[in-house]
Amino acid sequence: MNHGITPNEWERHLNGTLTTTEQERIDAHLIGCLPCWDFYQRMMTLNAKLQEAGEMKRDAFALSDERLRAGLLNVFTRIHNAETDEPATPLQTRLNELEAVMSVFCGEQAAVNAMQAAAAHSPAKSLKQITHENWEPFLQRLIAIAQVLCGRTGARWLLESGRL
Amino acid sequence: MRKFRITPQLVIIGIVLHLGLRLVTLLSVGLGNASQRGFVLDAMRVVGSFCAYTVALLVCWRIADEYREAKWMRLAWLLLTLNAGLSLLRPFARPLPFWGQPVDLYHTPPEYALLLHYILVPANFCLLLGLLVIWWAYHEIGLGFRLCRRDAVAIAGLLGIMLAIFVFSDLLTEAKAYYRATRVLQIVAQVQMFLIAAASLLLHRLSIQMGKGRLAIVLRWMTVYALWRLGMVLTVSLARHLFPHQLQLIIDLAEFGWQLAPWLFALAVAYRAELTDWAAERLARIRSERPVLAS
Repeated sequence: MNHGITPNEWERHLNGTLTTTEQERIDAHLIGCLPCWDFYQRMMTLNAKLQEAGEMKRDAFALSDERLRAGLLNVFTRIHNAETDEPATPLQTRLNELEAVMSVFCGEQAAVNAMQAAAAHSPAKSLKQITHENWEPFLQRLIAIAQVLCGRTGARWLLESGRL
Repeated sequence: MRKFRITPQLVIIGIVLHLGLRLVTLLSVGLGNASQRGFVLDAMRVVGSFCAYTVALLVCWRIADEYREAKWMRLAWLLLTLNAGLSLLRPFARPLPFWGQPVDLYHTPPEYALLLHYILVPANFCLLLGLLVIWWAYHEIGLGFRLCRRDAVAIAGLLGIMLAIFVFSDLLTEAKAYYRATRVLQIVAQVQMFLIAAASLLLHRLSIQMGKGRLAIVLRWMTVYALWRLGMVLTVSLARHLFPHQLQLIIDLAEFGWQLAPWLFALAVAYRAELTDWAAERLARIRSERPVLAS
């Protein structure tokens, strides 16, 4: 069944994104064509059911404030990185590796917070200011935090992963 | 040769074996008739609890050593070790002449009840302090974890139930205990249980704010353990009040919950031990890949 209506037009018709002329042409056809009218009715019902089910699922799997915040933070970081369009430096790569190692152990948010806290309490003052010169004090501070979060073995693993 | 390790899987096997055997034994005589297999069930209770607390003791001791460079965490795990060590004595607090008789905490010899609470109160104190010190250690490193309003509401709810328990203190097992010390110690133990549950909620909040991570699993099992024990006290007290003619059935069923509790603690700490083993494997792999750094 085509009757001069493409799948793309059906989709846009159901979504209400057709131009006025296209909309009027399809509406005029639907009035006189029973198979197309039946198809349209079935699609409308299915669409409504899918929307309802989607809303229910969204309610059932509502994100916590913390998860939402962490997710948004990642999205904005990626957007920022894409905008600056700068290739990752070896130092940045190592920072990412450290964060990944800690994330597995104590969670994404704890890893992000630990990295920021370690940078804030080191000569670098912030993650962006970390250089080869102030890397070692930053790493030592991070290891001190990791001793509490991950224990001695976890901290050693982090130390080995973080050595330049 | 592969080194023997206490893993969560091993603890789960222990739980299934212990409670499975108990269920099979109970079903063979019918629920509510535990007295017919009194000796066997008592032996299972003692051996099962002993195994669970031994596992917990060994793991907590090992983890305390793991935190040698973090004083608060070391203190916390030493306190948990002490809790496991004291709890290890609990199954043996029941005097030999009463072995084989049905376990009924409401009708126990006064000396047994007193001895049990002499062990229980310091053990609970160590557990409570251990959980609070863990929370303090995480708070002190300044990762910005905060309590939410709903935590305060939950803790306030717990305190509300605690006050209600005082009003209905006649429902407690030792409400009519022969020794006054037993009655007082049981009230102290109940207050400790509520505080332990409140402290575990703090750890649960931490685990949520940490995001997904293996450490969060450990904290969540600690929370489950604390809430389980409190839930058991409340449920059993309420069930006995509501169904006074089903006492033996309630005791038989409640014993499953009580005997599961030490295993839940063992499971929580086993997850922490698994974390160390896992980090050790990764560390060994890194060192083998970068042999120069290993020296």
